[in-house]
Amino acid sequence: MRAAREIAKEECAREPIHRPGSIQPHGGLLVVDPRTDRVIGQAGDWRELLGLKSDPLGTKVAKVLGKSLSGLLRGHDLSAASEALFVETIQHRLFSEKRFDVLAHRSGSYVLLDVEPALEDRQSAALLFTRIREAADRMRASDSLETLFEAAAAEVRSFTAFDRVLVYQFLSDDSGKVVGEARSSAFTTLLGHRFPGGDIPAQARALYVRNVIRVIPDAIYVPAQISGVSSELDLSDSSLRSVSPIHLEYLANMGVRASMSVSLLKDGALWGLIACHSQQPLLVPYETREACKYIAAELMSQLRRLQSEEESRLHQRLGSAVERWLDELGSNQVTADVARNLPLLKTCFGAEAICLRLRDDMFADQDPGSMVDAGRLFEALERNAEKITTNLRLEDLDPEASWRGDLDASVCAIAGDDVSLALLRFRAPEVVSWAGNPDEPVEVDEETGRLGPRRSFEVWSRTQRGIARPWLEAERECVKRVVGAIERLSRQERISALQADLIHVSRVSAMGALASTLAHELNQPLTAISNFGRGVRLLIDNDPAGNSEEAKRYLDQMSSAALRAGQIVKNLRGMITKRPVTAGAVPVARAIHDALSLALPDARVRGIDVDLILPDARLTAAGDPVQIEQVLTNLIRNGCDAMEGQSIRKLTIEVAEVSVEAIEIRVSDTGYGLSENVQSELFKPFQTTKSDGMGLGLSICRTIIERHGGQIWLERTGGAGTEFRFSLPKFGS
Amino acid sequence: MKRVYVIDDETIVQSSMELLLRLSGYEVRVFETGDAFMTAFNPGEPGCVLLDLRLPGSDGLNVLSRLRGCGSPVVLLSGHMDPALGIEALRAGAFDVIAKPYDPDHLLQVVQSALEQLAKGERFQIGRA
Repeated sequence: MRAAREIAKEECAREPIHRPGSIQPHGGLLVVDPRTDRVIGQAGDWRELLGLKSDPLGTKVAKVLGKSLSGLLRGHDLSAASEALFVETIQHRLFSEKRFDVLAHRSGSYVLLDVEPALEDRQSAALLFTRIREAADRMRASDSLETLFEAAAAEVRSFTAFDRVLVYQFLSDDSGKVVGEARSSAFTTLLGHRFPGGDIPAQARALYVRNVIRVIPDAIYVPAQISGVSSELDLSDSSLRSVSPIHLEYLANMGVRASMSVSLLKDGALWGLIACHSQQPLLVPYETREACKYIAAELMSQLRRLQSEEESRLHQRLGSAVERWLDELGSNQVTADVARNLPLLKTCFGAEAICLRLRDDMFADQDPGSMVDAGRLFEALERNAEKITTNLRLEDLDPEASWRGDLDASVCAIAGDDVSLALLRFRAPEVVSWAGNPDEPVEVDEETGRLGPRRSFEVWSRTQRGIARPWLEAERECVKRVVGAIERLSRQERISALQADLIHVSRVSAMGALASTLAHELNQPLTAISNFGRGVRLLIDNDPAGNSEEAKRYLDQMSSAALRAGQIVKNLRGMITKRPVTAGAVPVARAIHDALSLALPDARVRGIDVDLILPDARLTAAGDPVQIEQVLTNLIRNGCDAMEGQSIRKLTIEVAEVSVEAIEIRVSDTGYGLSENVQSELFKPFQTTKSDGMGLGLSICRTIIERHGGQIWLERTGGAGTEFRFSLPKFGS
Repeated sequence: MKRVYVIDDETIVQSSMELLLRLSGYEVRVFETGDAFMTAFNPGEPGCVLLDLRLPGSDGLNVLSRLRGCGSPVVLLSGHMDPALGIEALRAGAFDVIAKPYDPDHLLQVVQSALEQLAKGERFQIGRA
């Protein structure tokens, strides 16, 4: 039985509905060869319609309609027209009150003329425009989609006098939902009802996009066959085109005698229909149809307005929620912050599950019932060609996979190199009122085997998997923003960590280069301690009862030597230990002193004069003491190295308070100066003038100072020596 | 013949060595730089010269070369004894080299043997290779 149904559906979809070979009999069709101005094909009862005495086939157009084809077209360009054009109104030969509209369009090399009954009490064009304007104004007053749909249905009903007008929206599963309605008591309400996708076959939908309005004035009719030309004639644009018998049967089953449907197009795609039903036969003449097309267009324009208003409200609300969320992320532990705040982000987006991949780390937060495997989800997303995915159904992403569990959801995801984010909205179960059994859109007659539409439109309530709230453009933009921000922050975090490593490595290597000098500095007090120890021992041995004052004096000197050794070790350890960067008050005088003790403990031996100009010994900079000492150590060593072999060797360190918020530290030497090509590359990594240096010194200095919010620069260089300066924010400013 | 010359630029080292050597029975004369020592030194008053390698002005190796043939044994001391530097010092005629910090017994032993050799009348041929 299922197989039969499938075959039936396929047959239905194959029916060539645009080439029915016949028309509806309320009008007549003329197929004209424009080169000869003769009627070469026709359909319709011309005697009944116009009171013609003979078959129009083979005659000149003027003989039938009173005017030649060019006289009728009067310069209208059919090849430029997107649909049939109204060109003329003509009268019945005998009864002048019976009037007909002539509509012209091209079909291949022919011109097709639809002759159909005109509106009986035809109004002036001015009045028609007024009525359309009023209808549009009433629709514009709608402030919600519900009221808009209702207003549009009411306007169409007032123009056409159909008993029931439905606004019908196609959902993502191809089913249609009645979202607006205006009706008389003759029909029951269908508001909220769902019609199965199979009720409207695919080729009918395609035709709906091509010509936006179709009327069946009387569903009980005998089609008028086309003669003179092939019955394969393409009638896509003819208002008289005969419809599929299955459709007529469908209407009859629904109790509908006359119907009209107007396509609702959004961005060129079929969004929905305005479907009209009448219990009695009902003609819908040309200008009434045009008015309905305007209403449909106005409906879509108002729909776009309301949706874009709604979307911009959402964008704003979501945008600021996302901003607030991003503000919570710190700059040095992005991964942990993101992971901790994931549930909040999920709530912001109204999602039921959120999965995030940050490089190799995977995080997920899911509502109860969701057991999505984040790793497998991202694998599937990465196989997907699209980097940005919106409104993708989980089951379409990976139909086979068992990792989804029983879950189906609509996914919004961005798969990036460093960061991938996926948000899922579940397709929660909902109760749907189907207008008839959704599984039986067509029926196969048991006896005849003939294909027929379903007969029952009884409400068929069923609990089924619902449609997830779709992901809107604005939401997608916000997801992109979040991913972009996390990417940026995590890159910053990585750079920051690498910088800290580099700064540390450079510090260790600087201390390595100073090792022999520092060993000497350390060994001096140790030597003294050892000497004093043995000396005091001898003192006591030589004269056990002697004066202990001398021994005490030496013991004191021992203690201070030990302290001095300890201080050197402490400074050294501070420089080589890897530790978190601190931000606090750094007494500048102390930093300079410590840096000198590490970088230049042997000033006297090297014959270097150190001049310290410190106007205020209490000045404090804001930052990390070890890193500031590192910069000073570097500049001091560079200065001293540059003075090797010079006759005057003087190192000057000057501290200046340059503003209420900044301190400047200036380190100058009397060395040989820097060459011009060295100057331009000074702060770039791996540039060095020394044979044993790695050339990271000044670039590291710049990294450190800029991280502190200061600047470092070469103030002057030349025969009189070189001066570097750097600024630091004052503590507390 | 128990004279020791100490040449070191640091007060704390000077005073501690002076104490150790004085109490061990030596006559100690202290100098801050090699140049000051060279100015004051009288080859007629030989003794063990304890010379720091790293000194302001003329460094230890320089002073060592200037003491060539003076007859007093020279012991070089260094806070960062580089083996290459030690070899160079020994080749230049140093009696011994000692790394700081040292065991005071070791220092006293070296001083004692230096002075014993001096007493035996051995003249130190500074500069033998």
